[in-house]
Amino acid sequence: MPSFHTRSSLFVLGLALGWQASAIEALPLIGSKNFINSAVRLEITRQGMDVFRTKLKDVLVTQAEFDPSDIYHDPYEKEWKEPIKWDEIKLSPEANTVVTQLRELLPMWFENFTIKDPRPYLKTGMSTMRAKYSRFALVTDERLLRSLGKSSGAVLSLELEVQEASLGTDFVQIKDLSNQILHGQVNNLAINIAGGGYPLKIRIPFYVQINSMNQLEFEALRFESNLRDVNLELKYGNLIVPKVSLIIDDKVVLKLNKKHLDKKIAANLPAILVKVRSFIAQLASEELPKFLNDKARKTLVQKLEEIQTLNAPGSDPLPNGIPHRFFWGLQLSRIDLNDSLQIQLNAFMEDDASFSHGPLLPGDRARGAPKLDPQGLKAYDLALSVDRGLINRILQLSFERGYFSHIATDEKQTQFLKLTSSPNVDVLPGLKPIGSDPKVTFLKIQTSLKVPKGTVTGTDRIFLQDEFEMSLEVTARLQDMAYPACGQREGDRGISILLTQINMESVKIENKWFSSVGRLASGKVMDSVKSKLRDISKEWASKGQSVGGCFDPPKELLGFKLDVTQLGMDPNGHLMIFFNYAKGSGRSL
Amino acid sequence: MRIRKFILCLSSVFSFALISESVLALDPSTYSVNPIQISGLRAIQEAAPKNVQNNLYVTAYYGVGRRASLNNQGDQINLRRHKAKLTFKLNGDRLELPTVKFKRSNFFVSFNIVIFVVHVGSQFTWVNADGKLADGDLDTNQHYYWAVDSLTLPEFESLLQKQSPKNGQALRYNFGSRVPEEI
Repeated sequence: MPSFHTRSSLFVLGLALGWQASAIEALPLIGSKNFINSAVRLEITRQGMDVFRTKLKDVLVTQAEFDPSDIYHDPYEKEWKEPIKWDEIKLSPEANTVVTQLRELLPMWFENFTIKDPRPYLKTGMSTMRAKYSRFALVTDERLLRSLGKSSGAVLSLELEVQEASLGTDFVQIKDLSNQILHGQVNNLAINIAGGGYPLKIRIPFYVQINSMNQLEFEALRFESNLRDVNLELKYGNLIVPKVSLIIDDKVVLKLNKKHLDKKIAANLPAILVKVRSFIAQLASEELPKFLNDKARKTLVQKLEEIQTLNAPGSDPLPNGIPHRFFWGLQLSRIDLNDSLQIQLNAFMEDDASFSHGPLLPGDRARGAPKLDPQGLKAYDLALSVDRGLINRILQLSFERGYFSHIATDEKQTQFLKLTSSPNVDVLPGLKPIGSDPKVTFLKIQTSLKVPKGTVTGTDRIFLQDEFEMSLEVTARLQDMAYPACGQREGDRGISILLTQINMESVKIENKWFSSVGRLASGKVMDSVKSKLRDISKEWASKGQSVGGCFDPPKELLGFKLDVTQLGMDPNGHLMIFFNYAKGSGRSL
Repeated sequence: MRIRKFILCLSSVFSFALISESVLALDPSTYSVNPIQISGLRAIQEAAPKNVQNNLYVTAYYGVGRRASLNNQGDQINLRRHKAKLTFKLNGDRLELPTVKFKRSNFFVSFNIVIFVVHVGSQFTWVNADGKLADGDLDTNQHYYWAVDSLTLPEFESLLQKQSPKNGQALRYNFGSRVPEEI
């Protein structure tokens, strides 16, 4: 009867699914990107949104390079190139009356005195803004989304409570370059918000969606705040103003009383602050949404794409000891808010530009959208679905690179087999009994392989060619495992791939591989082959056969560590991974 | 009278010294990162091939960047700007990185990640997955690394809070990167 090393040879099927991070070398250019639409879908449940209520500031620091608690700016200088026409300056009616009267009266009363259209010059010292927040959150607002009548996209609200804030600068110097006598400087200027029991509250709801060009569209809807009610404090070290003196009969010199001016300003400061506060509140509510929308329109013109590398499964290390790498990328394609926040991402998996691959065949993809919540329970923070097409694409790239054509079947590496078709993963329904380990799922791997010369020995050669090809389907068990099964050290986890069964119905050997005698008794030969395979399969069923590698599910989302809570295969062909934030990294537990 | 003058002089010098110190400590244009003591390097060294074990270096990149949003490998970091880069020969289990100071950036963060890279040879340049270098870095054509780990600013601050290092003491951090499979 035929004897061959099927057990070892099948390791590769799972190995193809196992990838590990390791060394990296100079990065060549990526070939054309064949996107698989909505290959990755992410669902953030209501409880999963908790991290954005408590840790949004960390997300901004790590992802947006912005720390709202601590902002710095270098000294700043601005000189207006052209004078501003008085008529174009928006002043309050009272101030406008005073300025108009002064412009008319002063030249009448003083010779050679004119007030020209001002050409301002502004200079500030180093500026800082420091703030303490009792709330810095991003929340979803489904009700507002519905009230806008939107069928896609999401409304998110930025909600802030500022306990204390201080905006300060070393100095502010203002000059009018058209009228040299008009200048002033304030040193050590600081505007403080001392919230106390009345923190400054700000709420900015905004609508986001991904347009047909895969660009993020942003629209700030409004700006709400209690700015008019908070304690605003203005402090300054000293005020430098023009020296004004009146000379009468070339003898009597009357100087402006600077102390009185300071006293007058200090006395009027509360009233000035009310005006300033009111002005800022009005400006913020009317102009800030417009400003944000304008900025967003200018900056969000690029597709939001993120590229990563992946060690090519099955690749032998290059001469420099580094495995070959594929490139994969995610591109935002759709955002929806329906009870939970759902994000769809197009994905590509490509080789470098030096090696050309065809696109993935449509039949190798999932057959529709996944149902992210099979139990109808949202007992998880996040759910992630991965289209089987993305997994098959990795296998296709490795196969076409020839990484599955020289696979050692024994430890001494004396025999090698070759996969003759790219391994293909799909759903294997009905294998996960209710109540079984939630961190386990199953899938099937279909492939064909060429059994190497020397595996058919003795009289078996009468029936089968020494080197023959067969196709078969194997069941693989995916299981979330801790170190040492997966990972390199204590605390590591990963998803192990264990081969558990060979589907006997699937085993096929084409006639051309039988000898003339074997063809006459092909049924018996196949029975014999299957009998050998059945023994192997039984052994696998009892404890599973490791393929010697684990694959890493996402370990972090926006810097928050994740723990796998459940694995599954969606009937439409998506690998589904459910997560909770790891203790201490996400929501407070 | 002389004594009064002396006291006045002394107090003015003293107050000047105080002001100078506070200015230095609070100079808003300078960003300062505490010293860091990295441990656990021997295991990384021993996992490396024997022929390179004595030629391993550690480069610390202080800069602005981010780990991939959906990150399944610790080394998927996009370093956009680098503010400081220190390289040391790996010698023993521990390595102490000194206080690092650099000029602050306008409006955006000056520093939000430090990347520790163990590499062969004294030259190394970090290359992002899209093939780009960090702004301000020079390409040495040496991109191979043996192991990598990183700390984001919130992680760094969390460690600071837990350890509360006294003046001049280093923040302790155990190199936690995955050791690549033997090659």
